[in-house]
Amino acid sequence: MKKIYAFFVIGLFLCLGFSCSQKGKAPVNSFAEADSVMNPKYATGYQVRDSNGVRLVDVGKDYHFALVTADVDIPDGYTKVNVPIKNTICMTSLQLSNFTILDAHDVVKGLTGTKNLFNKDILQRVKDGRIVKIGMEGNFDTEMVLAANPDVIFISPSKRGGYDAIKETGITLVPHLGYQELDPLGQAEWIKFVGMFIGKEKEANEFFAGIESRYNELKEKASAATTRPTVLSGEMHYGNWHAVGGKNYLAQIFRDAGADYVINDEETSGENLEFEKMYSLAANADYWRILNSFPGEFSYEVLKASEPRNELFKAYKEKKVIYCNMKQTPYYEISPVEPDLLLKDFVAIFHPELVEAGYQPTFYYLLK
Amino acid sequence: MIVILVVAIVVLTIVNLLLGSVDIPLKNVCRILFGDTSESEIWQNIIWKSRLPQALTAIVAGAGLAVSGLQMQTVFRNPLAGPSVLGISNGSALGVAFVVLLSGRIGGVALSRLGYLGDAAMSVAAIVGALAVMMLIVWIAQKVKGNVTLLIIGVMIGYLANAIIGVLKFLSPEEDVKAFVVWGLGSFSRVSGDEMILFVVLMCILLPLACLLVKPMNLLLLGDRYAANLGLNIRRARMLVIVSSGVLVAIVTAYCGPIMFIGLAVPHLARAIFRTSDHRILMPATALCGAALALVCNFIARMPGFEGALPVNSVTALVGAPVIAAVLFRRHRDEIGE
Repeated sequence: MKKIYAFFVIGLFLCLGFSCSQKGKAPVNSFAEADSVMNPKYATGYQVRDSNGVRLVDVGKDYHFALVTADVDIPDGYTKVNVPIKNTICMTSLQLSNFTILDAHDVVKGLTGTKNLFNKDILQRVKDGRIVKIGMEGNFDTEMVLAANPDVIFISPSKRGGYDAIKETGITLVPHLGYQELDPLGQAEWIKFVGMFIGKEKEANEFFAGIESRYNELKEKASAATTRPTVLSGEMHYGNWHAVGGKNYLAQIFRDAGADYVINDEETSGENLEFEKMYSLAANADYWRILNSFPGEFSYEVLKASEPRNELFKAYKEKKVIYCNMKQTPYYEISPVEPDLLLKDFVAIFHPELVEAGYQPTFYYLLK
Repeated sequence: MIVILVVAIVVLTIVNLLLGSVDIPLKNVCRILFGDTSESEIWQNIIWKSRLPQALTAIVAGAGLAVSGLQMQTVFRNPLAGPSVLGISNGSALGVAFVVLLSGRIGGVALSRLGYLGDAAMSVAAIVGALAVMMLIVWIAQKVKGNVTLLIIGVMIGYLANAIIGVLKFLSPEEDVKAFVVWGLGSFSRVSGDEMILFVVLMCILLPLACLLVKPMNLLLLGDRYAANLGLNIRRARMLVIVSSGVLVAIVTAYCGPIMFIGLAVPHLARAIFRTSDHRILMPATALCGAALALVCNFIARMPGFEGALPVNSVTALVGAPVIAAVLFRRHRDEIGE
């Protein structure tokens, strides 16, 4: 047994070594005091302030951008970006959704791919060649990237990388960390971030204000509900359940919609659970949320055929599966920027009395 | 020795039933196992529908892979041979890759619906892929004489399958690639219900059948000329052993994904423990060692603490490699002076 532990210890040190070496430079704050601070209210991934007429945007710990409209001096440690930008490349449908809402498809010159993409205008542009496909993360086609001639590229950094080749070309990479936000409104608020880059700040602010008020109003109503059903989420694949944690975006939406997610710790945003663990947590949950891409009509029979143990859950037996098919619904194109619609779908299921009669869900419906 | 192994397997099975990411007290587990239905329904389902199928799957899969590895090592008289050496596991991976990665492209809806329903469709694809490669190998085995030639052709087929998988992966969207990668991690826990029963029954038929081949295998060890002089039809014997080994791997891979290492290493473990190369002993010994090692790995992968079950493939080598290296080292360290 000692040998086994030794292996784990070695592995652990290796991991630590890697994570330490990746820390970036700290921001440099030698510039004059900020004139005004305009930090987002819900989003935690970026911060904004104006200083001597320069818009300073800090993304995470390591990225600092100075948005300028004229040729002015900028503080050390910041990367200059001339706004409004004319050309850009998006890496995720979350980013693309920001451009769609702001009516700025003209700015988008490149995408990673068009799988599960519904927006007709975008598809047409890809077909015409006005938008190019640059390939998957980790395997970008640098020539296509250069051909799109972007001012900046919005990236969504994960472990697979492949950004070095693009960096070499001198194009500014701007991380769009919306996907890391744990609060649905925080994720939606990244539209303001994109708005600043493309010179549509006012539109973005107005749009977000509408989302915010509708979301909070509905949340208020749901919090007053007398019953709070419990929900489980996801599907088991090959004996493992990749479950979203209690700290996740989705868990937050469940809470805001007046329900409780079965994993109640606030620590993790996602973990792999064995069947038995998930089952012991969720066997008696009232509802079961499933989001997948299923060709054709999803049903309880399909759910059982995919994994015979699915029928053991109470939500299955009582036909309380909340379902959204990404093949039929533009889920990732709309839900991140309009979480109020998502919230309303859930409220309509958990507390039907709180929404108008005859409500037509946008994404999720109760599987018959 | 065999008795000790059987006892070890029984003990390990019980350990596998007792421990998991959900805490169920010992006495409740016992009551459930003795058919007491007054226990919590959740616990009953965990024991009967999760832990027991997993333990049984591990036992038969471990035994099957180990026996298959032994057969390959004997036929090719090569200690580094294993179930994957003839490209048979690559063949099944290719089958699965076709279902998972190409489901959206070829045949459209029909095939990908199958892909969804399927864990079953994947099993079929894996078996078809593995058997196709095996038929090819058998056909080649009839044409070429040398074992080494056959071995090299097998390895080349494996590379070829891998290359095609690589191209498919490259052309596929990320989610599909991920599904395929997850399949490739191997797992004893994906089989349950009727499928598990079918799997166990199949293996319970195939393993004894494999044991019928011990005599020709013993003769093959003597070398082709000797064996032929003793009246063995070498070509036929070679083919039977390859088919038996291939079918075992195909079925295990179909249900558990490609499980590495056990097939290659366990025969060495069995030889070191039993100090014999007589297949009449070695065959059952290898099967039992394989089952025991698979149970140990399954238990370690699911030890409380790493909730969420580590991939079996990482554990088999991580745990198995040092153990087997240590056993071989202790048995053979003094031989250098002899």
